[in-house]
Amino acid sequence: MDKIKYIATLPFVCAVLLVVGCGTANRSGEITDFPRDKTLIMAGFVWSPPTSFNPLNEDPTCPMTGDCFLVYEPMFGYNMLTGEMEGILGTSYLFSKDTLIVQLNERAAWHDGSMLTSEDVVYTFGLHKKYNTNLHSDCDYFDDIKACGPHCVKFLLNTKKLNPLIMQEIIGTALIIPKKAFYPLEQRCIAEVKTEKKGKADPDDIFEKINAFKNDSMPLSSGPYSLYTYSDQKIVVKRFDSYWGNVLHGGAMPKPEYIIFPIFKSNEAGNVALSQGNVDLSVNFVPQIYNRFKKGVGTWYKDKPYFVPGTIACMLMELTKKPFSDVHFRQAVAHAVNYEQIRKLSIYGYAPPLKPGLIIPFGPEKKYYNDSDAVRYGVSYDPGKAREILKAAGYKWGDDSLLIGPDGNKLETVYATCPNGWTDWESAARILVTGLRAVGVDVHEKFVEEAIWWKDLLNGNFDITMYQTLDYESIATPWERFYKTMGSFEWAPPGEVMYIDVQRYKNPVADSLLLLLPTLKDEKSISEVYRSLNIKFMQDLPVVPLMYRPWFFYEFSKKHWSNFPTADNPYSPPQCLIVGAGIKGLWNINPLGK
Amino acid sequence: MVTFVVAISLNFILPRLGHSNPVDTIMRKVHTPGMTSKEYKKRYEEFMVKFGLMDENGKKTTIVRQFFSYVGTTLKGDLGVSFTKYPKSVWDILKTALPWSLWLQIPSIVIGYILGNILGALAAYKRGIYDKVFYPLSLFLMSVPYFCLGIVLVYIFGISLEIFPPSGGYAMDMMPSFSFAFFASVLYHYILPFMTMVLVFIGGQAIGMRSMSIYELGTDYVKYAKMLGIKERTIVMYVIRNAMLPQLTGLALALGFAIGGALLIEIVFSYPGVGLALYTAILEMDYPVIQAGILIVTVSLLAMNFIIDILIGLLDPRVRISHESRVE
Repeated sequence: MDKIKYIATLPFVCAVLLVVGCGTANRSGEITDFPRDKTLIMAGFVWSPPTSFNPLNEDPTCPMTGDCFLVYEPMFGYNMLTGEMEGILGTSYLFSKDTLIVQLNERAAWHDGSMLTSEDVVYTFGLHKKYNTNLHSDCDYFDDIKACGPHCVKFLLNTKKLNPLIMQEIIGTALIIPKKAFYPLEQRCIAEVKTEKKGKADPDDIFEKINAFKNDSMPLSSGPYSLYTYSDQKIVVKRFDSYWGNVLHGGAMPKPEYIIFPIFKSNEAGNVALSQGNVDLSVNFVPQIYNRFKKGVGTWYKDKPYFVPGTIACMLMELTKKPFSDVHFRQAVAHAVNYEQIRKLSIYGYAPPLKPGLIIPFGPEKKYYNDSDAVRYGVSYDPGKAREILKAAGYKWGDDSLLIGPDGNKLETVYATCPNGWTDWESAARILVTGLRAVGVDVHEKFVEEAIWWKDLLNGNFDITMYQTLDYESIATPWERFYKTMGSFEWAPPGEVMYIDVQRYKNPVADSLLLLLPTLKDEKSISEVYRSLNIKFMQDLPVVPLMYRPWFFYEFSKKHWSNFPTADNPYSPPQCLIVGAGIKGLWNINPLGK
Repeated sequence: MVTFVVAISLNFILPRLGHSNPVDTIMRKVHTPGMTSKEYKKRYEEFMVKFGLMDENGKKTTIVRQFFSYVGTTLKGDLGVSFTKYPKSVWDILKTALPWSLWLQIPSIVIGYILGNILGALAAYKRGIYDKVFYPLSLFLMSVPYFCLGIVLVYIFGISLEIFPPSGGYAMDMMPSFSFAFFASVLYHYILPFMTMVLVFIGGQAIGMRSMSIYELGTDYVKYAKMLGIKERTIVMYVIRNAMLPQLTGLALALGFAIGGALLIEIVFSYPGVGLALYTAILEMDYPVIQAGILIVTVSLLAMNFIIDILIGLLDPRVRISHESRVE
């Protein structure tokens, strides 16, 4: 009988051993059971098993992405509340006519104790300029970068493409990597390519080899944390106690010793974990977040709208197609959408009421918003007005109450698409379809897989779709939002990829304003140009804004940690404690444990 | 063999019938704020070439060529490289997922099979109130899809009562290790998905066993045994032994359903097995992982059916004798 018991338990034991053996890349002797009072668990940043921790990779895993400053650091971090750049590796920067000079912090150091100098910064940007990295296109905005001292770098700006806004965005996202670690790697890759290609060293071939470097074995970095271990289910970073930047926080260390990024397969799994206090901080969309407050979940604002608005979700119409090419039709459908219903039902009131235009009338952008222009040129929900506009533009209604165009032909059936499973967008799409049908547009909603939606979006293969032309905030907003919505610099007919202005709007006046704006220095001129752009936007409606959304759905659980930054205690912006200037929150939260 | 060939062919063709391809998924992930349309197109083509979907002259690879390339590499035992998790090999992805699936499926199928058959035989023998409760309950369990029961259990025990963890293979603040705490965590996270598997499997097996046992109880040898005054327990064992043989054939059929169900259970519980890996791969159109995942499931299913066929031959003298007489 004992033998039978032994044999029966053997498969269980083998399976567990296999799970343990195959499931991790951790090193012997390291901690595997992380003390909860020293561990911060974050959801929503990683969605698939890690493949590369190389910050030069086209799709590196968090925390090596350009918006996460835990392991590698950029020179500055954007603060979404103040709209300013805060120093990280850099202390200050100054633009002249054709240069940008950045002063580095003299204390900045790598984890091995060696100093982080201008040589590392020059080398990092040199790599981005040379190879097809994610920042390669941005490097067109400067011709060269040179050291002007051990702690000073000078960007020689491309005067034909002068754009201080983008330059500031670059110095706020480019993670500085150690030359001493990456230069030998680059040289090795060059040598290998030369051997393989008989002396030729094509940059694309070299970069393919650099790109393949996983950088997962104790990479040398400068940030407050270092990569500790990872598996297909989570990534763990560990505090680097001698972090050079602790001095900027009165010598204190960040409170969490470990930060874990579990890999959830669905929003709902992460949301349940947040409610139960198994996750401390999340950026997932949580329906009816207010119902979770009694379980210790918190948000930036205690009451509506709970989150800080930072982006705009829009309805896009493919503008080369009829009837969307008709500005009267666009104006009419913009009057047919019930924006308040979208705000209240689709996103549970997570945003303030929508105001006309492409400038967000809150936070750093508020100073550019002109209320009188919004009243004069803006649209609001008014189906009666929608019908009036259509009638005036020559549209008629058939016996079936559907629209007949000015040319006498019945308007074709069109589809409003959005990615399948994006519940708030799906709900908004249903509401806009109801509104458009009420004024006679034969439109139906269609929810498709994200990859298909994305492909169709870029190729202009859609009638109506949902999209955020800019899904983040930076020092360059709202200019960048206008640029990606109205800039026809890459215009191409449907069927060809367009990466910005995907709805294919074309207006030379808007283009010239977009080129002019980043070069302006005085606030008055900047405000005037923004005003002109916003008026042009409201008149032409290249896209129809539907709702404000936060840059991050910043939600936290008070079960294991306290003193998260909030509107009542705004010591740090709601940038999730790891993004941009939000990282200072890590020094101020407190464990509730022992 | 025919089943195998059809399975791997369908396995190759079905993912490719979609409007999209894996490079679209990758490009959605790698897009960056500063990227230009020109650079997007260049990267798109680079990925297409890298994954053998396009040649270096920009000509798309035909599906026939892709198929022969797939068959060739598969026959060599090379499962390829994941497209969306490049440069990770498919085997690297599946080898971490496979133990979790085996750990969930083997014990639950074995225990569900044994318990289901015992309970079914008992229901047939005892009848009365036991059968009146057990029969409809088994019918219900058998009819509930695995994922439905999983969702109900997650909601009740994972979310409302918070007795068991609703998702994952082990606690979020742990990494796999040879420690008691880790094993305890694995077991704790195992309970709900295991119960889901076992309950549905018990239902199916018990119904089959009950019917077979009722038939066997009415046979002459049982009546004769009773007349001889043989102990009740011994008679039940005779009944079970005879009723087991058709049940073994039934197991072969039930395995496909159970393994398919287990894959869905893994998705419901975010259990890190092959089902979850396949689900992710399907969403991302990661052809090599889809192909390899389904290949592994198909091969293991065919192998288990083959083993069961052999077992039936060994255990059932009627099959053995008929085979021997045909050989003679």
